[in-house]
Amino acid sequence: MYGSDKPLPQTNNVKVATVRQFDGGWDVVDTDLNLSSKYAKRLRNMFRAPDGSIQLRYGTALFADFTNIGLLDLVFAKYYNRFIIVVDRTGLIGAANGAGTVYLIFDDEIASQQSVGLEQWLPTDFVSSSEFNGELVLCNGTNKPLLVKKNLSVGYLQDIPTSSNTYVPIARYVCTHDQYLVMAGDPAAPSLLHISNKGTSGTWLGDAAPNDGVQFDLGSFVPSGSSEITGIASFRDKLVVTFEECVIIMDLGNYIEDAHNPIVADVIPNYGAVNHHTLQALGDDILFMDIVGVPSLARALISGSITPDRKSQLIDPAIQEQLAGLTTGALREKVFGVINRRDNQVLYLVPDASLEQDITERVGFMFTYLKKLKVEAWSEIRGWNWTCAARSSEGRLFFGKGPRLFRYGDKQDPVYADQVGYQEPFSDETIFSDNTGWTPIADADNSWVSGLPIAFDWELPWSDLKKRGNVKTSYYLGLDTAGDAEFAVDMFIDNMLYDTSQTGEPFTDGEIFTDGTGFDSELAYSPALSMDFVAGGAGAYGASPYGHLYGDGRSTADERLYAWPCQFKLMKLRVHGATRRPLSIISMSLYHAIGGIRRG
Amino acid sequence: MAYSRFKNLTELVDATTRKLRQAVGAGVNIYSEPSLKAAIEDIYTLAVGDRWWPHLMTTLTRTLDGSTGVVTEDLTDIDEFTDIRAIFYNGEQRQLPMQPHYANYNAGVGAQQRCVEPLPYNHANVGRLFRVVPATTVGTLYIHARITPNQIFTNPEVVVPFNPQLLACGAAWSYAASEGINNTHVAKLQQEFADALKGERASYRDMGIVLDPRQASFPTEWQEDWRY
Repeated sequence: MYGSDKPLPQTNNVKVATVRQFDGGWDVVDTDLNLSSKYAKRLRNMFRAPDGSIQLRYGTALFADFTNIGLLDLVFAKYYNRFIIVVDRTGLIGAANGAGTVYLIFDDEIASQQSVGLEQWLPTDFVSSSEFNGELVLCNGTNKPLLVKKNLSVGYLQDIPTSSNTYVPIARYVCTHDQYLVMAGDPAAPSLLHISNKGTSGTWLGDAAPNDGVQFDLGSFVPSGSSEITGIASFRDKLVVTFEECVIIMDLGNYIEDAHNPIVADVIPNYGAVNHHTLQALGDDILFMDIVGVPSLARALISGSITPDRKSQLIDPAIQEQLAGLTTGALREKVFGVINRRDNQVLYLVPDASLEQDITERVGFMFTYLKKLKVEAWSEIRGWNWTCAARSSEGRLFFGKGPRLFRYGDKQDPVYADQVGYQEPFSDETIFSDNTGWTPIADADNSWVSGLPIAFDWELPWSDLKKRGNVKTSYYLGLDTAGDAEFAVDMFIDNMLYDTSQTGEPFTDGEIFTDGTGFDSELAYSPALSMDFVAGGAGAYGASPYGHLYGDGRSTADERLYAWPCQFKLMKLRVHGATRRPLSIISMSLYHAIGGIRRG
Repeated sequence: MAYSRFKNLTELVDATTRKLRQAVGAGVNIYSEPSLKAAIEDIYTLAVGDRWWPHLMTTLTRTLDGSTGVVTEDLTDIDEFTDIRAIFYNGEQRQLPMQPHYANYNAGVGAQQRCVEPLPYNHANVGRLFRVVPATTVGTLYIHARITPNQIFTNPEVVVPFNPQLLACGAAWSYAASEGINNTHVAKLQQEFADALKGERASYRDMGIVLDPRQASFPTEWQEDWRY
């Protein structure tokens, strides 16, 4: 019964496999049966952080509410001269200062005070902008452009000597390049480029001299696809003009005698852009979104020539799937991107429907780009439905929805839940299926109450622990984490990811409908092991208020072992949950032993 | 409080978990807890069956019903017939024997010795565990038997009445041996368990016992000690 007392030799058969390198990001192209653990089969609302961990994305907090000054649905936001300038769907223009105080800066009344009969813009779904000589030019493709001055006075852009805007083009897109204001997206001439007089924003072809304004039709340069210009941007010393299926690189500032003679420097086929707002210049690269994914242009170091690259190769199918159902109009107006300089990211948001009233979510494709570290990692952002975005001079991001602006959190001023100060979840931390919660909220200033939880999901590839044919026995799981969020870790084995015996997810209590099905048509996950943890920074009893963990739960800061017993040939880990607290996963370790080849 | 060292199942699981250097707490190690509970139950069963541990023994007094041979009340906290060490009838100093399987006492005819027979597991009054033959015997029985606490391993708050160090070491040894990842750790736990069992046995060694229960008093010239 009790065995012998004879001591055995000291041996330890356990091996430890640790995953701690996550530079690859989200990858939907490669089969996850043959993928390095630095990639993720799913990386939702998490990203590869600059410190090398997988971090939960930040949340958003209410920054400014334009309701009281009459603005409805914001379609545009732009940081300008310490204010965020916004345009709503009815054509009203507002501004918010750094404290979130809002001002109405252009409507029919203000317009009529400038000149009898002058009116605000007509209802608009699209606005673009560019700063020129310290002033902000706004275009919408329906009305003549507007000019916002430093004192926030707004008027129609005009030729100063004549005080006329007769020759100012109506255009959707505007950008500043090399002392010229460039406009495109003229509804009457969609392939025409309007280039202003050098050094002035209101003097255009047709205005009185001195004037070197010029127009340039690019239609005949387009080798395939529509000749409608979809966007323009300045990139180093080049003007980038995009079409659906090609990109034209132009040089401005070339003169023949006194006539401005723009030059087409290069035509790059098979790369294009769906929308002007997807063009995002990062310094050495410019990124944009076409119907295939996200290409980039970079300037060669020696020759200076522009070379294309497809940055989104690993997630192209996911982008294509999201873009697939959208009409051309939706592609031109409702897709947009924004640079998050503080986190070295570019974010593209794509709606799930073409009509605004049908859109329930704008799925985000976030690209983390750390050139020095050779990190190019994508992740998927869910639960958002912003209609516009802006970035302040300090690099802070702002998103608009309805008549409100929300500030995106960052390391210096973090926010860990969505729409803090505006919405709150049910008492069980759940929210409505359209990603909204209760409004108004009970206690806007209490971050434990206010804000919606961020649902996150990180699914690693299958791993054979470098011994494909051998049976592995796992004993314990160890995690290094930061933050204090709760999260669940699942382990799947032997290529069994879903429970194919039932369709749909069960209720939270594990029950399903009486017909044997669950929610949605998605198959339910079928983990062999699943355990809830709390991140290593969670406080002890009393550190958390009522409704939270009271410092309880399985702290990953505890170096004692968590039993994780299982046998497998292949394994896959998944981290998921929904939280209003910070979370970073730094590493995951599996204590295991390698066995024979016969699976029991 | 007597026997204050005894622990309930939850506390024993925690003690075992500590020995295995796993994170401790109710519902923390959800994948090792069931195995540890089973291992504790196994070790308890084995250790308790090792001998008639005095602290687990009790004597119940019951009255025979005079018609079917069973007593009139269930034997509280006595789980099985094999937990009964001895049954005494009225003032007799010798225990009742088991009914011989080669004699037909149940016919109730001819000469027969008063004896006991276990009840089958599906008997209507199985909680009384045995009957006396002849069934018409009347009188009082004194039943010396081993206690098994009610819901001992189904209710984690019920105290498990045995040396907790022994149970924790044994269960940890069993768990670690099944893992098989560190033989030294296994050997250490095994040694700890063996030592605990040895100590438990030794703790009852030097108590005097009565050699011949029919004598009215202890002998004055010498004493017999209880040894294993």
